[in-house]
Amino acid sequence: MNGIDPDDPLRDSLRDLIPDYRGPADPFLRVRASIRHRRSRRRAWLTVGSAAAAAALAALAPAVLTRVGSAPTGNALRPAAPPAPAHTTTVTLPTEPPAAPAALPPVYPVAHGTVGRLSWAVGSTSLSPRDRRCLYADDDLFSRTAVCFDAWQSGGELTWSAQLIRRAGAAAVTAVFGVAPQPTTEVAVLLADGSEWRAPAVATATDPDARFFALVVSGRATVRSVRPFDSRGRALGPPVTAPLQTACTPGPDRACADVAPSPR
Amino acid sequence: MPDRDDSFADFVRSRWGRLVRLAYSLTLDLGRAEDLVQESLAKLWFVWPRVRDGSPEAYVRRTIINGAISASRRRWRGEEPRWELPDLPETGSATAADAVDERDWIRRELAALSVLQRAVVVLRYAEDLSERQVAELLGISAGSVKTHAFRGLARLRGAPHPDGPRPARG
Repeated sequence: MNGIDPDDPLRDSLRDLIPDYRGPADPFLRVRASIRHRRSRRRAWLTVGSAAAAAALAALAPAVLTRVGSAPTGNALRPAAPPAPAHTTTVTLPTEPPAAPAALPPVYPVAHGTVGRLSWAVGSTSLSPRDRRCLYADDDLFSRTAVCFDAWQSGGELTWSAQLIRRAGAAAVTAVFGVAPQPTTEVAVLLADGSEWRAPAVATATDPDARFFALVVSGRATVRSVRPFDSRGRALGPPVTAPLQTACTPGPDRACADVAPSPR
Repeated sequence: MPDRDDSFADFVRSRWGRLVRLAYSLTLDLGRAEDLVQESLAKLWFVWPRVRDGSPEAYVRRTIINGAISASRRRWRGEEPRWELPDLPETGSATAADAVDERDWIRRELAALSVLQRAVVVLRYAEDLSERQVAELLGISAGSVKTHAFRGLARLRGAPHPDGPRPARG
C-alpha cells in the first residue's frame, strides 16, 4: 500500500481543493509590491547609525568565520562572573511584513556567510523594550527568526544559545547565537568533535555594552562551550558550557541542537 | 532591467494559479496561500538571473514549502484545524452540494495531518512527484517520504467520508 490509483477519487479531491479560484487580475502587481518592500528591507539592513555604524561595518569584514585547528591556550584573566539569569526566547516573526519599511527596527550587521549553497546574515536589533538585545535573521537559511537575550545585562557573562536549523532541500546546520560583554572581540566555539570555530563579537548600536556573535556550521553539531577573547587573543574567562534555555521544542519538522557537553 | 522584468512577469502570470493551489493545499487558507506565493515569488526575483534558465519553478516551490513548514512552527500561530464551513446554497444542485461536501471533507482531513505529512501527500499524489523528488524537495529521506505518505493516506482513507466508507486502494 503505497500510492493512489490514477482513477482514485482521492487524487481528484487533492487536486481540486479550490476549483473556483481565479486570483488577481495581474498577480505580478502584487509580487512587484513585495519586491519593492524587500528592497526597502534589504536597505534597512544597511541602516547603520553614525559611530556605531563604523564599528559594526568594520567588524563585518572579519565576519567570515575562520576555523582553527586547536583550542587557544590563553589564560583566564579574571574569574568567571556569576551566572546570568537564564532566560532567552527564540521567536519566529510573523510572515506578514510591516505596513511600511519605516516601521522596521534598525538591524545592525553582526555576521554573514554561506553554508552549503545557502547564504545567511545575522544582525542585532531591539524588537521591543523587553526584547532589547536580539539577533535577527531572515534569509535563505533563517525564516524571520530572532533570538533575544532578555536577561543579559551590561557586564554580564557571555551567554549563548544553539539551534539545529533544517530547511527543506538542504542539509541541517547548527547555529550558535550569543552575546558577550565588552571587551570581547572574538569567541571560540568548541564542538564535541574537538573542532574549534572562531567568530567575531561585534559592537552595534543595539546595545553599546554588548558584543553580539553568530556562527553557523554545517551538520548537527554538539556545542561543548563558548569562550570569549579580547583583541589580543586573551581569554576573558573560562569556557561557558551551559547554554541558555530556548523555546526550541523538538517536533516532526524541527529539531533542537545538542548543546550540552556530551560525555566522552 | 526591462528584459528581466518582462520574463519574470510572464513567469509570475503563468504560474500564479498553480502555485497558489500548491500553497493552499499546504496552508489550507487562501489568504495565507496567496501571501506565501507572493513572498516566494518576490524572493525568486532577486535570484532570477541565476535561476531563470534552470528550474525557477522548483526554486519557488521549495520556497513555498519552506514557508508553509516554517509558518506551522510559529508558537502563537501553530496548526489550528479550524474550519468555518461555508453555508451551502439553498438552491444548489445535488452535484454541486456533493462537490462542496467532498472538498470540505478533504480540507478537514488534510488539516488534521501534520504539515509534513500534508506536504508529502500533496506533492506525491496531487503534484505527481516521485518519492525521490519529494525527498529532495523536503530535505528528508525517501524512507521518511514513504512513511509520511503511508500514514497520511491511511488517515485520509480511514476518515469517515460524507458518502460513506471509501474503498481502500493501493
